[in-house]
Amino acid sequence: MKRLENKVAVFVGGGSAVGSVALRAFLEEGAKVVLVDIDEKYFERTEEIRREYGEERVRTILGACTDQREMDRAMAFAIQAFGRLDILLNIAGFHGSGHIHNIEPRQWNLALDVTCSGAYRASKAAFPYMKAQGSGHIVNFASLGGRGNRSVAISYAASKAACIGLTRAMAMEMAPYGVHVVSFAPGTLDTKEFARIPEKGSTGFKLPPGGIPGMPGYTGPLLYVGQSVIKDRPVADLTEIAYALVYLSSDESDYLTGDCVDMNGGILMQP
Amino acid sequence: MRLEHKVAAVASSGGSIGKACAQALLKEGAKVILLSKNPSDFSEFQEKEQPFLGLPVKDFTDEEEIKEKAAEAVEAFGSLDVIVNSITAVPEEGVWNEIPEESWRETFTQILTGNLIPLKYLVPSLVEKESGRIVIVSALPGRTGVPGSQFAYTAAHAGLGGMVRNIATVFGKHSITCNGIAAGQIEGQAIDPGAEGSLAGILKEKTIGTAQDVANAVLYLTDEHAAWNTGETLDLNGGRYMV
Repeated sequence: MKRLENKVAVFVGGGSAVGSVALRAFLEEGAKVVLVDIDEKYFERTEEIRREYGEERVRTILGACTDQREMDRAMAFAIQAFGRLDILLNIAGFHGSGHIHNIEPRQWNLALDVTCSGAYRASKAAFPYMKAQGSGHIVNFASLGGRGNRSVAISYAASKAACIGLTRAMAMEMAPYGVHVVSFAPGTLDTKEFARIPEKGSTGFKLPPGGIPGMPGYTGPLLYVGQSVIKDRPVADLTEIAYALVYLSSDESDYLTGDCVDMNGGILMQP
Repeated sequence: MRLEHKVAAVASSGGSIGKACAQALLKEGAKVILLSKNPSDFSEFQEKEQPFLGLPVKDFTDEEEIKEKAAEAVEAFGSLDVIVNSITAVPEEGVWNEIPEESWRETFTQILTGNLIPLKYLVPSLVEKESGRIVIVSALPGRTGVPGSQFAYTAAHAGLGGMVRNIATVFGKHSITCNGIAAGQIEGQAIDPGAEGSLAGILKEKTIGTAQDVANAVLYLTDEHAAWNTGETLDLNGGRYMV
């Protein structure tokens, strides 16, 4: 039997690079999937595979995780299309850009609203269905940037860490109903096969004076930034992430809840 | 068949976890060698025609014995790709500063040295292939405060975390990953007796895990897609401890 046979998954931010690659793995493992994103252009990435599997296996719907009603509507759509809701992947995120001295309030607010509050809204919308079923898996896509000392935009670090904290609280609240909630924190993703679509509302990354440790153009003192310990593997692979998400979404991980699961080539080894 | 064409060695001090890992790896197409202190672990494997070798072990800290058994393990199917350690020991209960020295030293030895020695003799085969997966199963008291837990057992299991991170760092250059699974209370697996009642998770109808849950996590960390997981410790405890 396939690992996600008869499971219905909703990907919020399903048009992202991660969502697009995970879609293939989930379909191959027997799941039915609903992709939710904010613009039709994100769905172009998966046009071919969606045609291959057809509407009995994969559907799309527009919806923003910054709006509770749109999340409510997306989950209701999944129930109407496929009859159940077993898995929610909260992939949508917003980097923001800037550092402590130049971060724009709008960028800061949007990062928190999408990355943390967005995961909350989608989970709130999905929970009643999972509670009625007595089972469910929610995976909040966090990042190494929210997990340890990384040179990332301040809005990113804070919103990803908030998402990890949110995960623990939701795990505690949903445990009595058989619903598992975990976060997943990969290191830098290798998205070169995807044409970059700038994040809606972003203003571009502004380097602080002297640059950022670990990135080209840095002129400051040598600081430890952490590197992968695995030969020839500096960044994450999307297919590997997709299969980690399969494990975290399936019954195989039914004794796991509340954890932040890492995948970072040994860049950050938490005790 | 996630582990087709792979050879896996499971080293077990005899609880339910080691055996379940061997079964799961076999089911996913691997050839399996089970080194175990529990002779009754082998019986069900021998009844079917499977690529399996059972090697009874008296003492994982005995270098001579393990050197020999490890050589047999590697020879069995010609090479090695995966090593899973599920090696622990039940500590003597008692007031922490009244436990006899030879008892707490033995707890450290059986858990820390007991995990080290099989790795010492099996890892070189992974280095030869310039690839591999190592998983070390440890216990929840090594990760967080558990009321009633014995001090040497706790420290030793915490030490296994350090071993995971060190092995990951040293052997990454050979494309070998090393990760840990820190398991909470698991059916059929002996616990630190003092910690009884303080280990259960919070999930509805699943406060205690099964050996299959651990085996599933081993499959997650050892299949081809886990090439960028290393130095991690996966806390598998039903929500008892979340980090």
